[in-house]
Amino acid sequence: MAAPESGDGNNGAARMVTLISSDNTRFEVEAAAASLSQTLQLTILDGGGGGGDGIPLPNVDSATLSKVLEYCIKHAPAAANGGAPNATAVDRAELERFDNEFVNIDQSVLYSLIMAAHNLEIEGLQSLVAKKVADMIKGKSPMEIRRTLGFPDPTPEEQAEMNAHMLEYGWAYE
Amino acid sequence: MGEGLSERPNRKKRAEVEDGIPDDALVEVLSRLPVKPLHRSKCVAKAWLELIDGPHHRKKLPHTLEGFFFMDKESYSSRRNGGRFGFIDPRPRFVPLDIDPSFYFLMKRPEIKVLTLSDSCNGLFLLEHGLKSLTDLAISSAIPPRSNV
Repeated sequence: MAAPESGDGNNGAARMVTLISSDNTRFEVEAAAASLSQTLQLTILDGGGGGGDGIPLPNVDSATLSKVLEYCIKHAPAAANGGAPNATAVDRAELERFDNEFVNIDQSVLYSLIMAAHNLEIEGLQSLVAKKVADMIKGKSPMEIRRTLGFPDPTPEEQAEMNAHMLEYGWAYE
Repeated sequence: MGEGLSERPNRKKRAEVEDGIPDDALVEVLSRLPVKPLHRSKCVAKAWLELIDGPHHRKKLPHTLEGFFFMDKESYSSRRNGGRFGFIDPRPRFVPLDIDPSFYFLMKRPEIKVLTLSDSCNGLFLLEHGLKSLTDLAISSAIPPRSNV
């Protein structure tokens, strides 16, 4: 559990905020975890999201949001410590293990996760997902990349351009 | 390798997906690729090509080697009188690069009589042109304007 970020005299009871997904599911999380999102941080600092209100997130569905929050809850304590002084090697190894496990997901989820991390501006998650996508792309041909990311099959013109490019950049395909 | 999606979304949804990855997020991905996969990625989609070849993200993405400028030994040793450059394009191209190793675009300026190479670094040339004692410096980019496929 995340330690409360500041001593607001509440004896350790962490402040909670409510987030509402595009399909109207409500998620209650600690403010410290939700604040990993740069987008939410200001609203939360302003006292938003508490009580019955909740912060609506019209671009994020509940499946994606619960995944995103899983990341935030896990990373919030380390972020609150500024990452460094209290983090032991064990803690860091545990976070790394969590991250690897976290992105071991279905491709269809990956795309929504890219979008959510981007919209919510969660820096750590953005680079984690980017790294995962880069790893997936690395050994693949352009066609395989398109399929991996769920792009539509190329039109004949696009296909012709791809072929021309493959001739010109032959060295990149060796 | 080809782990196709088990369930293909309909065409419209898929087109949205292709256009939908924001540039910033895409650059984050592409900047983590080694050179070869990066250049393979150019033909994944038009937007990707524009992003990789475009000028805005050059700092984050590795460049392709477009070619070499060279001076032969003779003109290098007499370079105080203005050497002649050549250009080698190592790749087969459908549209040849528009490169003028004589730097005509500089030479046609009336105040420039002789061009001499002083130094070069990271694709930039430091060229010296002089009229006897008067010496001015001109800096010119050796990176040709991008010619896209």
